Amino acid sequence: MSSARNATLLMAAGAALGILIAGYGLFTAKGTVIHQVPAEDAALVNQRPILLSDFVAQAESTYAIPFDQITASQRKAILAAMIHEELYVQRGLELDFPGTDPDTRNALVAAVEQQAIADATTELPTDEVLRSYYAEHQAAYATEGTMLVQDLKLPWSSRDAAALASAAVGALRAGQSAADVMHRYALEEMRPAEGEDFYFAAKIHLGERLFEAAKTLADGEVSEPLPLADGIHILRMIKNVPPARREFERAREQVLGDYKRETAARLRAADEKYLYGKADIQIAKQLQ
Amino acid sequence: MLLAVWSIHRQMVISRLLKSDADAVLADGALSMFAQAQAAPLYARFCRGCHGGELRGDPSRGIPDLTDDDWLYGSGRVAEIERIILYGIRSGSGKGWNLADMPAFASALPYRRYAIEPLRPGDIRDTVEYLRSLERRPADAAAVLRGKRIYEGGGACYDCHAADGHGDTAVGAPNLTDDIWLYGDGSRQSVFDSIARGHRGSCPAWTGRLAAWQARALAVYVRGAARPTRRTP
Repeated sequence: MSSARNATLLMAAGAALGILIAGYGLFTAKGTVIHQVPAEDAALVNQRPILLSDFVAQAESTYAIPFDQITASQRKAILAAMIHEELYVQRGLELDFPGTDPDTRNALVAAVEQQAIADATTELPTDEVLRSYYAEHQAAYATEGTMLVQDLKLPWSSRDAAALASAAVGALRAGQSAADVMHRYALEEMRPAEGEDFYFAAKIHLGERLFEAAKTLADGEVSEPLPLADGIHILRMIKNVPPARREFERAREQVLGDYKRETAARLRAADEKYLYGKADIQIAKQLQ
Repeated sequence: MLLAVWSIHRQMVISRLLKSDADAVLADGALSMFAQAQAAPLYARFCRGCHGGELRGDPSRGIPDLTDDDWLYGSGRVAEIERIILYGIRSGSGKGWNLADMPAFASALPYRRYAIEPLRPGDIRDTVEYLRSLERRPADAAAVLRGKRIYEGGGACYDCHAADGHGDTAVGAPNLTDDIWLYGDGSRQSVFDSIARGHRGSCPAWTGRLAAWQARALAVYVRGAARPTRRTP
């Protein structure tokens, strides 16, 4: 009887001791503390590492010389500055700058967005994947079209402008020189025939409507009169090289860039969906 | 027991690799050998996909040849290579190289960092001739003069590639006077394409996937593979 009581007492004492130890551990826990700086680090600041490689890079960029030429005192100065920065970053977190400071918040948003698409920058698609992407988006892979076009204009103020414009077109198509026709019909040269432009530039210079007409013209062709708000335009195409398909080998870099951009957009969207999915967002009634 | 001794020894060598001056590792025979042996499978896993099994890169994708001693960024020191491995080039990492891109002059807005005017096709052809003259290759003399004006003027090429065309390894602008081609084969068409469409090559940041010592070992491996290159002119 007495031994049974002793056993119960001992068990109770053991349980109490266990609870005491667990309680002490729970309320005084500090996590794993490292007392020696790991080989890859230059220092530990409140257990946060300053990487040796970062320290070397910081020292080299500060003094613009290789690390082995940097003196011990210069190294100490750099390390002191990095420790100072780390301490202030840690203090910034304690002061909840991410919660209040706009610059810190912007930097965090950018960093998280970048993290979300990290896989798109590190994963290299196989050649087969790229070729298949190229095949699906072939229209995007063309050379830049170029054109050398002369834009002539007959102002609306001219008497019987429409008839004159038609006659000028006829004369140009009959092979009369542009200079003669311009002189005879008082045409203004809006775009001289000097040096070809890429299609995008021609579109900017000519405007949407004239460009659409111009790109259908073959070398040596003259357009129909094209009435616009400022007058009747006549386009004389000297040389037109439409965009041509770029072979995969020539377009590979662009294909890879486009593929990565698309992958990054997909990852970003997935990340956003995940974040919104698990978030509890409550919006004020008047703003709903 | 043997395994424990081997493991401790290995940790000690890794520690020595990390604590050594990165640029001095190659001169330390045993350490260099250890690093290169450890790096070979890492290279196969992380780098071979782009730089190829022979480290010779791929000019159709602008992947540099790692076996020459032509360095696009920095001067080829182990510490610099290690940094590229860790933080990449245009990788999105704030610690990576990302100071300039090659503008795409055949587009309405050639450069996203600051305003540069587009070039006309003839201007690009003239610039190509000027670049050929820098490499002492046959070029159209009149076009060379016009191209020089573009290089030093509206094209702002000098800004990254330097007035003499020797490039700038601080921003990753290649030397335009040698016969080493990061993109294409150096033909007129290929150089025209580079100017017209621009370039923005990238290298991933492997920090987080590679331990610090693995990045250093890889850097030693890459530097060890580089051989002096004969340049023309």
